[in-house]
Amino acid sequence: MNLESSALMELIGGLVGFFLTVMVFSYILGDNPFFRVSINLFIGASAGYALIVAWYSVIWPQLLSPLIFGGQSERLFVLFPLIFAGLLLLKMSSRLSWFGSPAVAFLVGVGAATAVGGAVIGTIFPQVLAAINALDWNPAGRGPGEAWLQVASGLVLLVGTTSTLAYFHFGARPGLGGVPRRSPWLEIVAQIGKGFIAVTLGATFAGAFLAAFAALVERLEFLREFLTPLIFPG
Amino acid sequence: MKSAFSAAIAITFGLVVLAGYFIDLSLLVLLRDVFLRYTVILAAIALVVGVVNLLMVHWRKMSTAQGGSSIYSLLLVVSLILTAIIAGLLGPTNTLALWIYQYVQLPVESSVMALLTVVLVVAAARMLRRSANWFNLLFLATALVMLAGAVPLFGLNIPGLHGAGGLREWIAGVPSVAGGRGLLLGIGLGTIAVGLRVILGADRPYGR
Amino acid sequence: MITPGILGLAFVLLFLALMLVFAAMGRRRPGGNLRVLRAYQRLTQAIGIAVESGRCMHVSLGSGEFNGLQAGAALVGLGVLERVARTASISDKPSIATSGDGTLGILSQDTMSTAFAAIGASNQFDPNLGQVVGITPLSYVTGTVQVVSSEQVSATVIAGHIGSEAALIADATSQIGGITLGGSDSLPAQAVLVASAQEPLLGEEFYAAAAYLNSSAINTASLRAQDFFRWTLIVAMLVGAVLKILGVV
Repeated sequence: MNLESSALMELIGGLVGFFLTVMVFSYILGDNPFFRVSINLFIGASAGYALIVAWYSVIWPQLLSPLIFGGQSERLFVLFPLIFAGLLLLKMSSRLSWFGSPAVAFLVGVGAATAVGGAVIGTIFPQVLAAINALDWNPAGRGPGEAWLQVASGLVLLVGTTSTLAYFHFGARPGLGGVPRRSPWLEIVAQIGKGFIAVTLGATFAGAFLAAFAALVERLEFLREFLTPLIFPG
Repeated sequence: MKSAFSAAIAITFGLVVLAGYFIDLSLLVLLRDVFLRYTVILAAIALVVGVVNLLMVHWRKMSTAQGGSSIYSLLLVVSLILTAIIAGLLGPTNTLALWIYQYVQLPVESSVMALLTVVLVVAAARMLRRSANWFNLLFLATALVMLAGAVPLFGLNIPGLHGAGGLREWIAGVPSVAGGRGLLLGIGLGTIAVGLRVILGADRPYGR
Repeated sequence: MITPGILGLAFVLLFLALMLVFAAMGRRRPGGNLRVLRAYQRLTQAIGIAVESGRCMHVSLGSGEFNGLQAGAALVGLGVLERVARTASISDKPSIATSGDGTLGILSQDTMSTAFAAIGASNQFDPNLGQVVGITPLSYVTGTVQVVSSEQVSATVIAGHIGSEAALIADATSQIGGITLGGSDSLPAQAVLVASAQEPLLGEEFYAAAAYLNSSAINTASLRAQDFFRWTLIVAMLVGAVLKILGVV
């Protein structure tokens, strides 16, 4: 592509980006045809692109290429996913859909196992260890004052973690009017935990807002850069 | 019969992969890794099925709906097929394919993210109108402190709020981490329970 | 020497054993009490309202992959969908499910097909009730916003892995006078749902859906096992902290 056509592509791209941005922003006034046009173009383009990325990065190199060009061992290796891939494709037909169930069951079984394995090794053990290690009395290179501060923070962390976990306790006994209730002491601990949850989710909400705000600033800057030469040429 | 066969597959492969996480036997670890590679391939095939489903839904809308909604579906179908043809024939890293990514996908993605700014402010206001209980007030107060502490206010760094040792840093490093840790532990326990129900064959989302 | 692998195996085996024991006990003495969670009561009401008003319920399964913690959230979402589809399928407008992942899309159709078969209405099942509306997280959300507006849903249940963009789905539902309930494994989604959903489900509450919506012995048993391990972990953290302060570990 030469320099001229590249500049033209960039200009057309800028125009497309400008109109799409304005069309998406029109949603602030409520759902409308401009918003719908922009999102349908976007949904289609992103699905088409994802399809091709899946082909180039997984389906061709990991399934079809070994099958066509690979040795015997490679062909044997892809035989199982090849059969299941064929069954999975039958899910597109409502009449033959049930043939695909074993392939879906495979995905569900393995997915459930990764969920359990990941939760135990990747979440529960590291989080419990982190809660305990936060109470390190002798962190390297710290003075006695800082050690106290570290332990105090560690204690808040420990109270917060345990009370938050306690908040979720589901078991209850029938109380007044037969409504199941937790014991009073557990209710107190749970309310402390609920406070920590409010703080955590409030901080996360602020993070989400800041990320959205950064995107807004970037888009407004784009609109300004696009419009300035048109309004003030030269 | 066919449902029992599917359940047997889910349970068997689930157990083998689960064992591969905890038992340090080279055969089990190898099998776990092989099955995980297979799931990557099958997930890509499932993506193809998903894209076909998306196309079929909109194809049907185009043929049955009248007026506006059929035009939207037409736009979706055309942009999907066009992108797939361009990126498929020229490759996903070709200039033209990247042009679509840069000038169609990215502007819409960041604009939708930017829309969230307004949506989140409206949501917070609605939440207070709906119920101004202590949980919601603490949630909002924390969010406001975190936002106020994120950047200097009118060019000023307020002592006790901004910078190292300020309120914002303390909230982010101590109570927020504590609550997050408790939430994650709870999510971990819930995940184990729901995963084990599948491996026991009690939950069968792949059909009975 | 106890390795993390052995400890993990013991953890999982004990969890499994407790689930089975509690389930057996639950079958003999049914009716275990659970604390009240308003979101699930509201969900049951929302299904009733949808049936009466002739509008449909919408379950948003998110755009997570079927892997790791995201798979856990997806499995919970599919359980919720099964319950919603089963009870709301007597409505003039059956429930719909949206997903942003191929595997989830297939599973949503299978789940709805099972639900329709369970109430003897297989002939009314339409695979397009379980739709893949977009493949990337943001295209999923914009596609869902479109479905919510066009189908005039009476309630959206967000049940799966999704990010802070979940607020857009809740906003679209609220614009047409509907309500939003739900939970997720992701903290950003939970945070925005606190503000934008009428009934947010915090953290582990979301994972209790099966027991609250379908009180079978195994579902209640898994909650009791969760409670047992909750206190085991709390005790482990407290004891570990004391030992850490004393310098033993």
